[in-house]
Amino acid sequence: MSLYKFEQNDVFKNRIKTHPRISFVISDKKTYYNRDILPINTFAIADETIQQTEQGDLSLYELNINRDASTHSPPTQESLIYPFITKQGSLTSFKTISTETFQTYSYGDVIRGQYPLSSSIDVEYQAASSTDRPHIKALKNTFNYYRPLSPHYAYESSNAVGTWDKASQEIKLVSIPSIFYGSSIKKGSVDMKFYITGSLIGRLQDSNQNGELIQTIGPAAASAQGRVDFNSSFGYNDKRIILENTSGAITTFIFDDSGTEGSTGTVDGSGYIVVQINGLFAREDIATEFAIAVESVSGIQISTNDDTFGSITLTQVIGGSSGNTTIQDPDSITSLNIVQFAGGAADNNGKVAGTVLYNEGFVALTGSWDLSSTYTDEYLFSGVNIAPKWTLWGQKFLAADPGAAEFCPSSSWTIDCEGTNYVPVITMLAHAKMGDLNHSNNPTYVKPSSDQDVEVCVDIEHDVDYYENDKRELANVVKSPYPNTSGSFEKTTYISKVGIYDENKNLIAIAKLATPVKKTISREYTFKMKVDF
Amino acid sequence: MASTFKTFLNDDIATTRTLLHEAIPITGSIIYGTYGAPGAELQVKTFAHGMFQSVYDYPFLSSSANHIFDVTHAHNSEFETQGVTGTQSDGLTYDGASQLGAISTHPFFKKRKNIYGQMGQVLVGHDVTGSVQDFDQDGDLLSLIGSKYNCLIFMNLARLLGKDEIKKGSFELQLGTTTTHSDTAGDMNTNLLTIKDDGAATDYKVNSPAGEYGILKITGDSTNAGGGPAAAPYDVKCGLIYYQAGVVALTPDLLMGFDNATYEKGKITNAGATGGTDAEMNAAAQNILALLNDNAKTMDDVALAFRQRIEKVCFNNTTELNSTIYFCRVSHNDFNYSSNPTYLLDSKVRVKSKTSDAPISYITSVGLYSSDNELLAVAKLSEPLRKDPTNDMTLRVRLDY
Repeated sequence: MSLYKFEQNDVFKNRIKTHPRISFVISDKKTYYNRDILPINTFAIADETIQQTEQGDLSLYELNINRDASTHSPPTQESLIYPFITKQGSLTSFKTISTETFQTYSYGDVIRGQYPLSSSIDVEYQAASSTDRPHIKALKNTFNYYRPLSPHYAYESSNAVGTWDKASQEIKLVSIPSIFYGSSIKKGSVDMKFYITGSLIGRLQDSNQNGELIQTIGPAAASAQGRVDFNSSFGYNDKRIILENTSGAITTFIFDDSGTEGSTGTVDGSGYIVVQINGLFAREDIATEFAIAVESVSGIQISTNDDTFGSITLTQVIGGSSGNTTIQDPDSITSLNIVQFAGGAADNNGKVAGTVLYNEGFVALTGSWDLSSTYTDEYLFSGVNIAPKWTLWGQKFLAADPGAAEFCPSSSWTIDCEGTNYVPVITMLAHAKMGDLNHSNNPTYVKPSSDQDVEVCVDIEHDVDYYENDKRELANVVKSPYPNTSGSFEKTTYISKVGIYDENKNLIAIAKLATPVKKTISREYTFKMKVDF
Repeated sequence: MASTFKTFLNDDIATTRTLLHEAIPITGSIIYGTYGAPGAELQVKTFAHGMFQSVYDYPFLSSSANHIFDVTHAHNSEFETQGVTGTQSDGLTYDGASQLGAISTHPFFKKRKNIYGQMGQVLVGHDVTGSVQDFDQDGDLLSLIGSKYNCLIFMNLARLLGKDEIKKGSFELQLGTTTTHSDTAGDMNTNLLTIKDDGAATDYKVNSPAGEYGILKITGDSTNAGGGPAAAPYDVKCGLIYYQAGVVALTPDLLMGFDNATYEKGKITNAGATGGTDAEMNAAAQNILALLNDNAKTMDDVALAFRQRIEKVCFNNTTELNSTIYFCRVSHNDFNYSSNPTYLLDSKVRVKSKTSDAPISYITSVGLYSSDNELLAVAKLSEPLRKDPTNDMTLRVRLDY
């Protein structure tokens, strides 16, 4: 066996950056990790899985699968695998044993731990009135550290961005253990959703990759509404109603009782939209005809609603107050009553509803606006139904947990993100140069039936030496293209594996080839080996 | 970045080794009976070569399943003529070698021999002629006294559970030796023999290439009102356990009729009477030798018959935790100043208002540096320690790996 030393450019140390996908679904007090549903333990205690954990939890060693924990009482009765250690001078103990407890043990005592060691996503809600929030306060410096990324990280703020104090505002802290994501959560990958009865009502994304969780989907904003009341069935002929939007664009409707200007929706010579009321004697019919005329015009973003009593409600198609329109009655129609557009409000899309601490694995949700104007539920288990909002995302663990009862079963929440995990890699290039590695110590390398394949014993003055005959012939494995003959002899080996040795010549790794590689004196190879850690 | 370094002296560095154990209880319900009908159990993986079975703690197609052990059996060339434990020192031949007949025609004969040879090569080693040695009952390979195991049932415990080694003296196996066979789980877990590596914590063998091993002995018999085979130290040997390799080798004698007054090998009876009845290994009422000799029976059939009779297997494993302890000694005149920016106020030491005031600092962490001053590790204190010229301290930093 030949040993070669790696040269300077033969060993590369890199690391692969990987992004494991993480997905949690929370619904009815249960969490599901990566859409996986573990079977329930045959000896289940309150829906425990076969891993002796809740759904969505990771079990560190994944031992004690589907075992009966109720009969476990070490050291006399054991049904679960558990670790134990004897207290000794090295003072080694389990992380789960506090220093105070450790001191109560005498040297020689057995300290027992327990499996499984589980890890799970956690959500913690703090109402605005709550000041007992140690986990939030412990993150004060961390929040402030990231202020250069976004002003929304600030623990306290009173400026144009907003006024808040995370020590007292309504907040939801979502904790994701690092075992799920590795070194950090990948920026720009966080995607949180809020569902009601399976329908998406809200979505947060860190689309700016600066930790701000921005609402990209939310409930439609309230639209501005106006109304036109037709209180009489006559007096409209050749009269106009004008709708003018905030940009100054004007759409004029003209009533025609003569039947000469065409059907409703026709544009007459003056550019007016015709409302054909010839032959109509009821005010609600006139109102309906006006509604048809309004809906026939594209681009003014108004939908109409006829209440059948001669009143037409005009609603902006787009929520908020943009595109708000005035209703004008330039010809002073006697019986017409006009209620101008009002009531529009802006939506919350684009607002920042929380921040992500990428390296620490926390999400702090502070968006406390309603995500539904119609749906309410008992999210706080307080006897009062309230509207869903971002601070109620993933609501699960409460002081007054309802136990086995359903908890907000119509609400469900998801968080999807990617972690960042680094895999150190060592790449080694092993060279089989020309003229090297052309001899093997394998028994088959020499001719098996050679007459000279014997060991020779020589007795020199009572010393006995053993050595191999240096005339042993090597096996000729050169293939000839002709039958019944072998090719011209050439030293040939087949490389089947490469051993890696440390500086003390300890074999520490073996790389095996899928198929042996033929090596002759004139051939050279470079074997590329990679080791992931 | 530290501005002051102290060099460790020889007495400042100590190494320790701590043994971490896990208690591994494996009930018979995991090994047989819970996850399907005999021969079609979901937690038992069989292979086309039929040479061993792999037992899991849950249906093995589930990613949650853990491998517990493999089970197989093997015999050497002498098995055909000498029986299970060969010729005894008293010259008697037990185990009904005559029952075996022409076992060399069995379709698994060569595979069993190969397994015996392979296991022997790894666990027992070679003799001076280069031949693979047979498994010895008392571990004294050179002595002619005592006998060899010609046939053995092997349980290869998974590395996941065995870890670095099985804790010596912790192994316990309870085997049902009731006569009548039944496919119902639990029916055969009566007339229990308790098998332990009794006394192995201090008395074990080291002449194996695979490390240390102990002698398994029968230490209890639930059918014997007297409490089993005499008292400790027990002398009824029934197998071997290799601690580092995680291999348990048991003699099929355990399932043969024996005298529970003397517990002589090959004369085992579970009924309490001398020369009792063999345990029936399957519905055809075959004993272990007949099962081994039946050309229609596979190695999986033998493994199943053995698994059905396991009431409990439990042991403790061992993981070595190697630590280096660095005693960081801070003498009275060390580390009383700080290079932190906040240590100065208006270019003066903040904690000294006049020259004669003693300096004060607070130690929050200890950095371990290499010989060329590269920071290798940082130990943090749970709370800062006040340091001034009136006190000295030793900080004990433990590095586990």
